[in-house]
Amino acid sequence: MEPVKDFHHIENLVKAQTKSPRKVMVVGNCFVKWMRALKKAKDENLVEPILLGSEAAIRENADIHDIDIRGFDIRNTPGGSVTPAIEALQENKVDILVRGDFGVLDLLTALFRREAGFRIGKNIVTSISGHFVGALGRMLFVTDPMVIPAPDLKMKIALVENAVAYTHKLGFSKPRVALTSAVELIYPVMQHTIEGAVISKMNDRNQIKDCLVDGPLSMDCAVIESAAKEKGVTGWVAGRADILVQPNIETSYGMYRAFALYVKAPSGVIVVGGKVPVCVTSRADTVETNYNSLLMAMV
Amino acid sequence: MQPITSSSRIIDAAIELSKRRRKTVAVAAASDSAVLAAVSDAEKLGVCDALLFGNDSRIKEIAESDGIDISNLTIEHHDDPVEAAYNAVKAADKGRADVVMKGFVGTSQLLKMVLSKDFNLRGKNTMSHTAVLDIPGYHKLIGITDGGMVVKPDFETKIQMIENGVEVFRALGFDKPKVALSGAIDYVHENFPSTLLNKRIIEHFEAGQLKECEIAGPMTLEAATNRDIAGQRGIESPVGGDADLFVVDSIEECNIVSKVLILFIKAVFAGVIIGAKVPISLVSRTDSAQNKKASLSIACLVAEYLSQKGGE
Repeated sequence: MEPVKDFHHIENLVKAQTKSPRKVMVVGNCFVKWMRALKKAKDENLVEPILLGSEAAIRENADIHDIDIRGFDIRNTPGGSVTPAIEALQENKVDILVRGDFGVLDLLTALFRREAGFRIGKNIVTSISGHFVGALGRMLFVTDPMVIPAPDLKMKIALVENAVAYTHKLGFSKPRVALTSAVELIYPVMQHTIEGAVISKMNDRNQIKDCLVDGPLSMDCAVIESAAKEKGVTGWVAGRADILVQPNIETSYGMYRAFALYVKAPSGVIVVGGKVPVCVTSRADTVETNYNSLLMAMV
Repeated sequence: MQPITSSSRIIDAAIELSKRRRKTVAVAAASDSAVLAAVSDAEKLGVCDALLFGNDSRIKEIAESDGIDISNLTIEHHDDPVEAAYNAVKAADKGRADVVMKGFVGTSQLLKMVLSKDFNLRGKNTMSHTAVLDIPGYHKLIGITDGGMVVKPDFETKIQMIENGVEVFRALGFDKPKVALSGAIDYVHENFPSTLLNKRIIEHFEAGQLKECEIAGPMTLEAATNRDIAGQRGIESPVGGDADLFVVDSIEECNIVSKVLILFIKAVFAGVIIGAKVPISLVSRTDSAQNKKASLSIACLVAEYLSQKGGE
């Protein structure tokens, strides 16, 4: 399988793989932009949307915005509760969760409780955003914009492993992973440059497998081949990174927003490593970003 | 002065300024092609004059081979680049130059010279870098600090970074710049160390009654630069959706996020180091011609602002 080049490829992959519609439950009131994204996926027979809250209010909202939600499973429950999602999770009655009008940290906190059944063994839960960057003509995957605020060395290894496992599903048999920093040289005062180098060496020694890792790399050396060449940064990853593992959540989140809002790169963002994937876009995101996130979750 | 809201206006304002009081840039070790091109362009446009400190024959050789016209620039010959840089800083100290520009010398080496006891250029604050970005899609300029010097600011350093960044925007004509402290979320949460630090920073500024700026945060990039999103997130501060300065928590955040905007939507970028009595300008090979002109222009505007302020 060829690595996916853009979200259309991911969509085709999802269509080919989906035997029966996935059960997608929205936690908190469903934003209109999520209704539209779910409607689009439903029309392709990819999903079976489950909405929670006041049925009358949901139908009215759909009506006002002229969205045909026939076939949506609407469960008249007290709005704004995570309980139905946890129950569905425990009973294996949901395949994908979507964050509706519900605080992202509140949702993650509820899911992370041991008794919720979201966590699997010692697996670490992380998030990944995907962006199709037109100027590069390919996808970039960024981690972690939503879950791990300040990853230490151990956590960064988990970020690498989760992103590598995820991109394998998208046809990247040996994804190129860059540990990003402000510079590509190693400075003792810059902790992230040291950790980048360590993880890169662990990959050399085959302690981190099935991928090619290099770090530290600055943003331009990670993704722009000519910039890497000009700075004399060589190797398998420089200028060609598929995955950017970033120093902290502010950097990843800022990058996600810069791509989605200003570069207008088709984007999506999901939480991986739990029992089911979770789409964690916000109200500020477009229908397209929601739909792309759904596709990312379905692979 | 009318607040400046675009990169082309930065350059225009510097040209207007130079008609009244022409600024001089002292280039510290001028044997660097990108730097020579930048000062040559800026001089032709009427942004500034330049004194080139460095090896006379080497400078002429580079200018010749790269087709850079330096006929209107003055060369002060010094064989050794370190000695050349030292004399460039000395020129600023003696009032012969208003801006020091980094040439073929290490940044930290140059900054050490600026801060050295040989000169009276040290300011009360730490030195920090502020980049001013002209992002297609944002209705004004936005400053972002610090992607070049301060690796991971603590409480004191972050306050000084903010004060420095505010000076840049005051030099651009903003009486009370709007400062947003960055976050991956728009509220304070114990799991996010940067939000806890930012809360203390805001309390500090509020205790000082906020004479110089408006400040709010933590705030995500989208809430700081988009009024609708700020509204959705319940941000009432006038900073929401209208930020002038975005103060980040690490060098990586600043550097990497601004790179996305510069590489992929050609945001124009003008950077300056402040904290000393004169601004320090630096450009790199990868900067576009427009970035280089804007960087020198902003340095001249900051130099004017600092000299007016010093004379008050």
